[in-house]
Amino acid sequence: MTEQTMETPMIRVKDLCKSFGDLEVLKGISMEVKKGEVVCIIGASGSGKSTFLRCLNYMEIPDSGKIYIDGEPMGLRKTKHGKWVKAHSKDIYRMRAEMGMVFQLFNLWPHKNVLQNVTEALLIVRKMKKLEAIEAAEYFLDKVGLIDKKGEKPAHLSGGQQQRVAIARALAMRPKIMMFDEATSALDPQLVGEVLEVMEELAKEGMTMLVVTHEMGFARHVSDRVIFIDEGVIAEENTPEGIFTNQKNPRTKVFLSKVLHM
Amino acid sequence: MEFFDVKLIWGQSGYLAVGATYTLGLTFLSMFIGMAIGIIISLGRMAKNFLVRALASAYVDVMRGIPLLVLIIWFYFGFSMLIDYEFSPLFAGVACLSLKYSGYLAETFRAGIQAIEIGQSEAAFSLGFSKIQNLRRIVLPQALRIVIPPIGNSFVSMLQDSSMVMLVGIWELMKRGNSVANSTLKPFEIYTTVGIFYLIMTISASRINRYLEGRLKLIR
Repeated sequence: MTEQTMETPMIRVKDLCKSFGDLEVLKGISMEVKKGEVVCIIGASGSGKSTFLRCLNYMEIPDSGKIYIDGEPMGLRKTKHGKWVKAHSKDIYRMRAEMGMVFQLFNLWPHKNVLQNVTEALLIVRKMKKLEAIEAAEYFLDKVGLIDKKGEKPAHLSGGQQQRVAIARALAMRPKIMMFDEATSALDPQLVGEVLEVMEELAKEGMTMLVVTHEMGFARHVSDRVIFIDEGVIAEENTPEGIFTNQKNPRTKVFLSKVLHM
Repeated sequence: MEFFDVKLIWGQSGYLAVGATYTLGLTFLSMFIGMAIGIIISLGRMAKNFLVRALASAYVDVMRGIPLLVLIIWFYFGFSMLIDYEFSPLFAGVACLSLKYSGYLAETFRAGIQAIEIGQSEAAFSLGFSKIQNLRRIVLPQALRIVIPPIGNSFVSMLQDSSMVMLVGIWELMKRGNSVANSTLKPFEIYTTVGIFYLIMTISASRINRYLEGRLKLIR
């Protein structure tokens, strides 16, 4: 590996802007995530943090700005004449498969059982053989502690269990990055812990993670860096210690005092 | 003259039963084709492109707005003259039934597809599914289960409406009943029997539909 590729950030974002109609949600966001880094994004509801995450895998199409995933531009390609144009769909699909995403509402497929939820993308996107896919799925279901539920339909699982299946589903694709979009916000309080445990385990294993969260404990103790997004811009980027004890931006302090009831 | 000639019915029931199987076959075939067209039109109704949406919407309006009887006569006697081609009765019957019902079915499918939460597709896309893969593997399997009851209704209606294709000369149940009634001069007995045959088929279809609905119910 050359020195340059070692330095290539896993995610690099430059001047990302996104509006919905008249509403400017992202007003020029630039940031980087290094390989193996765990970055938490915090901020008030409506501050644009989920939209930011959804732009990274092109679930939302940014209005302007550039996104590089492991050095490769996402959603755009350069023509022979050096002009940027929309990338081919199949390249977007391929790059999405490298980026796991976990949603607030789990989004498991109700017509498939737990095992099928995990094998589906392996069979359809990765074109694995059935046995190979089942083996991979069982490995990751075991990892999130739900191997004994593999025959169940999602509706028969608790919210926490459903979210762990969703994590296994994303992990089974062996993504380079895992993105969590408020993965615990829809859970009953007593079920939050089991999901955070799985996420913490992943972080320890060196997975590159981008975590939009309201779980300040997780941001403080598990992440390497915390980004505070306020009104569509990065208001502060700091170490967890810095964000929670020695804020550079007074707005961070105001936000944290509200969520931590300080 | 006997009030109700049971012996006559007994003698003709085999002939009519064969007609009933034609009716069933005709309905199954037209339903299958109508569903295929219906799915395509429903996707057109939800397309991003304005022109595609407008065309699909116009198609639905036209097919739902023309009486089946008019469509059959127009197609078999009028349209065939215009293009100077004689359709086979079977082709004309199946074409009219499927075209007419594809308009209703398109709206049924659209409702079914739109009932699937967007998150289902987002999960698929985030894993690298293409639009077609998402449709085939995630959206349609769920939507089809949701629309089983209305599709069953359409099937029952079509079973009855298929009697109108007697006009083009397909020897289905109604056409056979008509012919027997004319030759025996016993319309009361014969059409009562024909009606009972239709009832047996429609009630069975409803029961099967209800069974399938319970069996394939989507647990959400």
